[in-house]
Amino acid sequence: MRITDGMKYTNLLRDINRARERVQNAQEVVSSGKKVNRPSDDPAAESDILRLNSSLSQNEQFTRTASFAQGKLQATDVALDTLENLVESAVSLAQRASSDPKPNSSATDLLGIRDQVMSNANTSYEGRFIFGGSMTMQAPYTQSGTTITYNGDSQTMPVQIGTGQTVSTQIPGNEIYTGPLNVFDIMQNLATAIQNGDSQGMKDGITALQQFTDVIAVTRSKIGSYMNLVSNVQNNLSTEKLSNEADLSNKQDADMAAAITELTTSQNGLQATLATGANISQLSLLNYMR
Amino acid sequence: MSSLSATLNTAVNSMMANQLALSVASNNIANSNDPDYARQRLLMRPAGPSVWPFGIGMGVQVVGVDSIRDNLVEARYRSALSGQSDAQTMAGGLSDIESIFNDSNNTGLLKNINDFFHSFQDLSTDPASAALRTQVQVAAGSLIATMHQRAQQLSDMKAAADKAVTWNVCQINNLTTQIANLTQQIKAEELGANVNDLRDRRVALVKQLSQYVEVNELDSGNPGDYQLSTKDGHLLVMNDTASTLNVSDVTTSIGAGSLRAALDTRDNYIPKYTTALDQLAYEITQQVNAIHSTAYDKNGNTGIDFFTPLTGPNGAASQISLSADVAGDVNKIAASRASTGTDGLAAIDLGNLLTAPVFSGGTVTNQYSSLVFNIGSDSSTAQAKVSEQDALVSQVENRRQSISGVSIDEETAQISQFQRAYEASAQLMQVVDELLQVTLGMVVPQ
Repeated sequence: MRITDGMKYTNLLRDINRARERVQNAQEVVSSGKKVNRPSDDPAAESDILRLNSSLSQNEQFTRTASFAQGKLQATDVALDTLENLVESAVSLAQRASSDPKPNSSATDLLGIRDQVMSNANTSYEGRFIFGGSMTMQAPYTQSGTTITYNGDSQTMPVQIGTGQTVSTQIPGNEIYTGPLNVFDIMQNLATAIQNGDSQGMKDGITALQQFTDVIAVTRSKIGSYMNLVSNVQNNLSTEKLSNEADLSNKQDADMAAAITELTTSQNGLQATLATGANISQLSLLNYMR
Repeated sequence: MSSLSATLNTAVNSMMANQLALSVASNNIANSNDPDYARQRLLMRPAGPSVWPFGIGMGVQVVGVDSIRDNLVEARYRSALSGQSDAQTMAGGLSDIESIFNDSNNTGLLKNINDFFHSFQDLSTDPASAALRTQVQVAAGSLIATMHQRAQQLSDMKAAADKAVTWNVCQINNLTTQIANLTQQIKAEELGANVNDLRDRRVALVKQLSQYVEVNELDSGNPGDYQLSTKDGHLLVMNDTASTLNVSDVTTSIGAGSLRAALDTRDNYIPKYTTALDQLAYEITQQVNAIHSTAYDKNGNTGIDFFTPLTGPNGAASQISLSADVAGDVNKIAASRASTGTDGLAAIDLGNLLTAPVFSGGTVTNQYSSLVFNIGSDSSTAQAKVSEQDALVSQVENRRQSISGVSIDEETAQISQFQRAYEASAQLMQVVDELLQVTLGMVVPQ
């Protein structure tokens, strides 16, 4: 094959260009730290990267709602603990009243406890009432005269903590305070019984309050199971996050050692091309003819 | 007859011929850097036998100057150039489009889609909150803005491709006019002499033309008998007349070249991506509205659309917008399944759309990433084709250069060869001159 001067130069330029392109690509991988910098670098990997980024942000979202649910359930549990103490002190007050009749002050004390129970039922979390079902903006219980009315509904306000997985964050007031056993009525009646020295009434009231303690216990165990569910989900979410991050890194991140080796190799290649190119172009028959 | 004067004549012929050969070599060296110049050779042949004695030759005869070019290689070269220019234009266009849909850094449209559906999940934790409702409205606003931007960018690209088509056609017409004029000159002058230079110039123009569109060349070798046509049968040059190509006549079947690539980008690729984006925008609108319109807003009203309803997927990405209700009042965002308007069940359903496989491509993420996958693999195929065509061009270009290119070494060797022959002929003249002196000396003056 004839090798002409034109060929020599175009081939040299092409080789230099190719070597520079290789350096450029290696440089991009090293500086971005990623092997996929645009969809065409690896379309299939890019699809996976999009999916993984999406599930990571979904994961973050679920983690956020889960910790919200956890916080709200905790607040509910604390409120129910307080309620339990209030009911216990009401029971012991009533028991003392039945043996040591000082009716007026005991009855007043009991009504005071009832008021505390009502304010307990109006507990709020982050500015929203937690025992009113979905009516979170208004106090669930209001009192006019001796009647206490429930203004909420029966919603449990679930939030989503996983794909297709929700958890209730609320126990509506009409399942505890004013459920089958209306704690306000029981206390009201008990106070009346104490005032009237009605020992049967006091006995019935104490029994009712003790039954109500069971209602609280059942509700608390329900809350406990919700909290368990949430913390399981939180664990799963953080495991899933780690594995997603590892997958994403696999698909997207460059192997730095390999990338830097490639950069050095490509730079050497370019250097060699330039050096030989400069040498070759000096050789000519003209140098040897006089 | 072989007289001294005949020998002298032979020497003169030889000197003239070798001098011509030197000027051809000098012309070759002068043009050695023009990639489209074909090296030339002086065609010489023995002048033929003398009548007497023994048929000794009468020296050398110059027949003409030949330009060394292989037409088959030229045709392959042009076709490779068309392919290369086609692939480069395609890859350039697609890589522009690809940069619009680059979500590699977890930014872009996919993030907006995620944020939008997450805002509903946040709303479900506290449906009464004005802040969370505003967050939904804002996230929807960003999603809409990005959709509009993507649609606009695609339509800008389409307009640019359309301009490129017009520009390509314009360039083709310019070149064919020049080629026709040149053919006319070749026809006028070739009757008298060989016009290698004009032919070289035509070759250069046809090569330039090949970058825009692949052409078939019909050159019988007779001066003025010349045809250029495209692969799909448009006649571009007939002898010395160019026929104008119209923008309305060209389709992607015209044959490889930057024109075809621009047409393909404009008529096939961009519409394909636009349709996919429109479909996505349309389905998001439909799915969100289907849930939203059956749910209750904060005031207990139902039947409210979240997005302005669209009649069909056509143009959806540029038309998607918040309904006037939701845009005007965040309390009209329907988060509730109950008419009290305060539970967050509908917000949960809306948030669920992000992971629910209710879109035609699976989940909304699947559908979007398949669009990105298509763009990415189209672009990567186009880039692979560029390397392939580059390799082909460099191979054929080497072949062409090997045949037609000027080698300085070769010319140097020839110069010294012709120089020696010239010197020898001059020497011969001197010898003949001396012989003549001797002969003349034999004549005794009277």
